[in-house]
Amino acid sequence: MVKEYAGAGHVALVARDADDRLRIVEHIEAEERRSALAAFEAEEAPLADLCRRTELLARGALLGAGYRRHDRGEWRKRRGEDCDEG
Amino acid sequence: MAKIVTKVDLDGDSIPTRAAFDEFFGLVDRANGGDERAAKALRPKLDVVPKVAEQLGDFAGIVRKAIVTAITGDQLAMREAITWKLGALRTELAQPSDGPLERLLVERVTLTWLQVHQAEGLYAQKFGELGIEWSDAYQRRIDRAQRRYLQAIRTLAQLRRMAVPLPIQVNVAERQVQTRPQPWLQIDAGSVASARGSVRSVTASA
Repeated sequence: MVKEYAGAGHVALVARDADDRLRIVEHIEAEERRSALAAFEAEEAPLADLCRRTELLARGALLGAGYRRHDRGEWRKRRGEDCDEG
Repeated sequence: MAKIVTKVDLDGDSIPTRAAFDEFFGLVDRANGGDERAAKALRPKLDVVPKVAEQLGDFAGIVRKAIVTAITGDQLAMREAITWKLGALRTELAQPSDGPLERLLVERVTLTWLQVHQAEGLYAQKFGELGIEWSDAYQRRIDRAQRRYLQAIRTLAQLRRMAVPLPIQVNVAERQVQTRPQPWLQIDAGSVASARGSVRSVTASA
């Protein structure tokens, strides 16, 4: 941090006031940027949601049919698993 | 982008009920975590899959419309062209034996493909006027879109390779009969549609 001497008395008060205003403006601008970025990313939400649900459904179908995925690798049918049984 | 519905209505009179849906996905979560009993318990519940896939298919239609509208705005010719291209992609990826789940996965591939192009197109349009922060945001969007697209292709390929036999449910004379497709049984969309006329309801996924 760099401290800069701005004077004393009335001049110092005006300088402090200007700094406060600047900080408030910067804070508002940062909030606006954050909120615009969040809105930008939220545009993808419906498709992301659809993909997530679809992926879960497909995994459910594979798991229910006796397939297992080992360490995020290939899906393989376990020995002795047969979809037609039971 | 236009405001669109993000929630699939599972509370209506359609089947499965919310409880069946929650139970199924609860089991999927546990099975994904390595719970073998949950994985085994999923087997008798596979009849939920085609029905949920159909509902998600409706949801996919809403998402497709929103993305196309966001890309084209008021340009009707462009909207028609993109809709035609999506239809052509769907046709290219579809197979006669596809059931609701496969159709949903095909739809997902086409939508994620469209989103990759949308993300890249938007970034290219705004490239010169973006600061570092926004440029990063656009690039992250492209990355996410590409990941979704690749995952969609991978899952469709996996399901096709595994040829997962989902139950076929036929209601005949007030009785619900469930069976599993035999290798010789091929059901395409046309035959399902005609079957709907003669049988009370048919939900099929071969």
